[in-house]
Parts: sequence; C-alpha cells; structure tokens
Amino acid sequence: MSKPLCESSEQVSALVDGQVQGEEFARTLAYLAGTPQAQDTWDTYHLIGAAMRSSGATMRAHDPAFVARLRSKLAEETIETIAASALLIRAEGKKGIKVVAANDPWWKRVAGLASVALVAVLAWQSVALLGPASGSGDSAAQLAKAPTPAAPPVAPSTLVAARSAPGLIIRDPQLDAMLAAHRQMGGATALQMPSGFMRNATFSEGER
Amino acid sequence: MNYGWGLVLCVVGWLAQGSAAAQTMSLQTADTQTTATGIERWLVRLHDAPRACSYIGTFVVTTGSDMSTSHIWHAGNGELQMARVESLTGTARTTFRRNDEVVTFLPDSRTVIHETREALGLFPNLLNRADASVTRFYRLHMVGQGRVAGLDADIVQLLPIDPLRFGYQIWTERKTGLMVKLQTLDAVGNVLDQAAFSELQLDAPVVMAKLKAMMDNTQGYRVISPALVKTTVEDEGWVLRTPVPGFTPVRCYKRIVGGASVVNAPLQCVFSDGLASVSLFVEPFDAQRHGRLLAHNLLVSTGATSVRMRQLDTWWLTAVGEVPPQTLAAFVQALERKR
Repeated sequence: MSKPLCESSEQVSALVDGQVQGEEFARTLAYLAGTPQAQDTWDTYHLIGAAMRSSGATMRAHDPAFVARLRSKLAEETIETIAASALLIRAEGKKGIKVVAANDPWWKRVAGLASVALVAVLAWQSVALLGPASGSGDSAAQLAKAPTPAAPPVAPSTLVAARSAPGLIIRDPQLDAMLAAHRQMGGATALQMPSGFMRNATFSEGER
Repeated sequence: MNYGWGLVLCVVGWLAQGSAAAQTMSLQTADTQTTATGIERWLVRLHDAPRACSYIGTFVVTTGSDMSTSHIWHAGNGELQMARVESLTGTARTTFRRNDEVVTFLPDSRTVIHETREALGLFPNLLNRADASVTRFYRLHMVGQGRVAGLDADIVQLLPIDPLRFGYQIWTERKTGLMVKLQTLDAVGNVLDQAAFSELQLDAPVVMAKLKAMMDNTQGYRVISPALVKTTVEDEGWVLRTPVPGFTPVRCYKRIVGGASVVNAPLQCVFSDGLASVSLFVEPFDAQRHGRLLAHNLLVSTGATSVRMRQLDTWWLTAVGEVPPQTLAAFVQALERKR
C-alpha cells in the first residue's frame, strides 16, 4: 500500500483496461478495496471512458450514496418461493409435445451408426499411429509432433526439427531460440558479414 | 572444377597424415605468409563490395534438404547501407537493415523485432582482431571462373588447415566483387549448405529514402527489442580450460526475456576464428526440459549447423555453430566453473 500515488493510478488504469492478470489482478483488487482514493480513481477512469464513448450526453460521476442505498435495499429484499404443483405442470407440458425418447427406435439407429463411425475412426487412427514398427524412436517422433508451447517472441517462425544421424527428431522451442540467437549474434564473422545478414533473413527452418 | 576438388583432396590427404615433416612445415609457413595478405585483401574487397552498390535479386539458401528463398533490395552510398529482405518461403516476414540496425516485421503476429547487430558495420576492427586466426587456419585458393545468376564470377576456396572448421567455396561477381554464391564444404569437399543469387540485377534503382520510410513505419505493430546485457565468460564465473585452437571470444551477453532476472537469464558467448562462429549457451539445468533431451541424442546436425548439449552439474551447456561436431564437443568439454 505504500506505492507511490502515480504508480497506483497506473495499476488502476491497467485494471480498467483489463490488462492486469493473475496475482497482480488480485493484488490490485485488494488495493482498490482498501483505498478510498483508488476507488475515486477507478470511478474517474470509468467516467472518462463513458464520456469518450458517449456522443455528447451529459456525464456525471456515480453517486456513492445512491449505490450504498441500493445495496442495503437489495439486501433487505426477501425472495419469495412460490410452491407449484409438479404434477400439474407435467400434465400441462405433455400436451402437444411429440414424445422422442432416447430409446426410440429411430434414435437407436442414429446412435448405432454414430458409434460404428467412431469405432471406425479410432481404428483407422490407431492403425495410422501404431502401424509402423512402434519403437521408442517413433513415440519420440509422435511426441515431437505434439503442439509445443509457444516459442519466445524473438524466434517467431521456428521450431527445431534437426535430424541427427539415427533419424531422430528433436523439437524444442528453447533449442530453436538458441539457433536463432546464434544466427543473430554469430553471423558476425568476416565471411558471413556481407552474406550472413541476407542468409539469416532468408533462412526459415520452421516449415520442414 | 576438377582441379578444385583435387586441391581439396590434397589438403585432406595432408591433414590425414597428421604430423608433417619439419621441412614440409617450414614450406607450409612460407606458403601461409604469402597467401595471408591475399586472404586479407580478398576479405576487404568482399566486405567493401556491397558498400557502394545497389542491386535487386532473388536469394536462395539451401541447407540439408531445405530450401529458403527471399527477394532482396540493397542500396549503398559508401556511408550507409540499407537492405530489405522479403522472405518468399516459410513464415511471412520482411527484414530491414540500416548498417547495424536490423528490424524484422512479422505481419502474421503484427510484431516487429528491433535489434542492433553491432558486428555488421565494424568489419575492419573485427578483421584486425580475427585476421590472425583467418590467416593461420585457412588457406586461400583461386579455383577459376564461373557464372552465377547470369553474371561472370571468380571462384575462390578458403580451406581449413585442421578438422576443427569447415571450408568455403565463394563466387564473387567479377566487376563489383560482390559475393554471389557461398558453399560450406566438409572435410572431403561435400557441400553442406549453400546460399546464392538465382537472379541479380546490379545497379538497380533502389531508393534509400523509400526503404527508410518502410523500415520506420511500425504503426499497428508491437515492437519488441530484446534486452541484452553485456558480460564476459569470466565475469559469469566460467573458464574455458583448454581453448579451442583458433577460436577467440567475440562477445558475451545475457538475454533478458520479459521481466526475468539477470541472474537466471541464459548466457550466450560467441567465439570465432574469423570465418566460422560458435555460440556457447549456459543455463541452469531444468530436469523437465533438459531431461527429455538427455534421453535422446545430445548432438544434432542439419546442413553445416550442429548443436551439442551437455549437462554439467547443475548447469546445461549448449554449443551451436557452423563447425564440425567435434569442435562443439571441444567447447562443451572445455568449459568449467571457475574455482
């Protein structure tokens, strides 16, 4: 809570814009709840936002007293539960409704067809997956094909697919970022300088 | 061409013999000295070529079984060099360069990456620092003439004297000296990867102001500038116990991603022999991520680029470079914690 004022305002501003997330979000909310000044800032930012969106309509800040009154009034309201006859509703509801049960012969046919299709798809996929000799190398290759977490923004286009001698494929975004970093900083040598820039800018290794 | 391969085989044969007789050594030294100035002169010309010329071309990079293509606009007025590289394969992106300043536009993610690659414009200094290695570890051979993208070119080979680096075959346009094709060769002369113009229009009307306007127009894009903190291997508490012959430290830095702390940021140190470069990355060992890699092969190669990984106590080392795998192995084995 001992943050400088301007920094706190920035936090509130970021919260209004929906830019605060996670732990920061919780912290900012706690700060907002405990600081009347921040609540004023919150209201002001919303008022500014509303004024910018509206086309000339008169704007005024919300009345905290009104909100407080509304809250207490809402809290006092009791919700009445009205008992209704379940049987009656069912009887009424049945009128004019065509009975289509899940065990209806037509549905049975549809379900049967869907399950046959599903089994066929699964069988086909497992044949595709397990068809070739399913050694550890293969499972590694399958693993490699699984979506990898997003690479850091410095290496936007890349995923390493380096093929080592035994035909093993390693895909690792970090490794890839290193390759990119090497190309950026390593292309500094006498020979690579005239062509290195063009070469690195041309080279793309993502699509392999 | 046959003459060229013959030369490669000769050199390889000489390397295979391992230790050479004393008189061969002295002959070799004399030969190195005469070609040393040749290499320097040749490299300076190679570097100066694009400074004062403008061109438009299509550039093709082949590595392993992959091929990438881009369209290139380049303008140079002696002082300032500007380029625009529009990728035609892979992820859509446009890269602009103004001397050391490099800006990459990624239209799919509406992102712009803004970087400074300090080495791009500092060639003479770098050459002074690295020339010892270049002249000591590579030999220049004139191979002959050829044609690339419809232009007459001189072909030159830069061949290593030891198995710790690859060789290069380079085509330069005869009039301008512009590099038009580059091949990376392994010890027996196989082409590991290559980059070349498939089409090149010299003295093309490339307007620098137009490139500048395009480069600076980042409206509607999120601009990312990676934060790099300069450091050294020693400052980070590491030491290369046995230096890898020819490779000297070029730069070392930590890349700060997001709000991460400097302490845990991965360390990248670049070493170079003047032609080839190796990046050595050091980061804390992460059982979940690195454990998976440990279970597989710790060496991966594609084209001329290899990656070698190693766990060292609570650390994870990764060496990346366009060098033979044994060079990377030498790096990850040589690095140790300073006591």
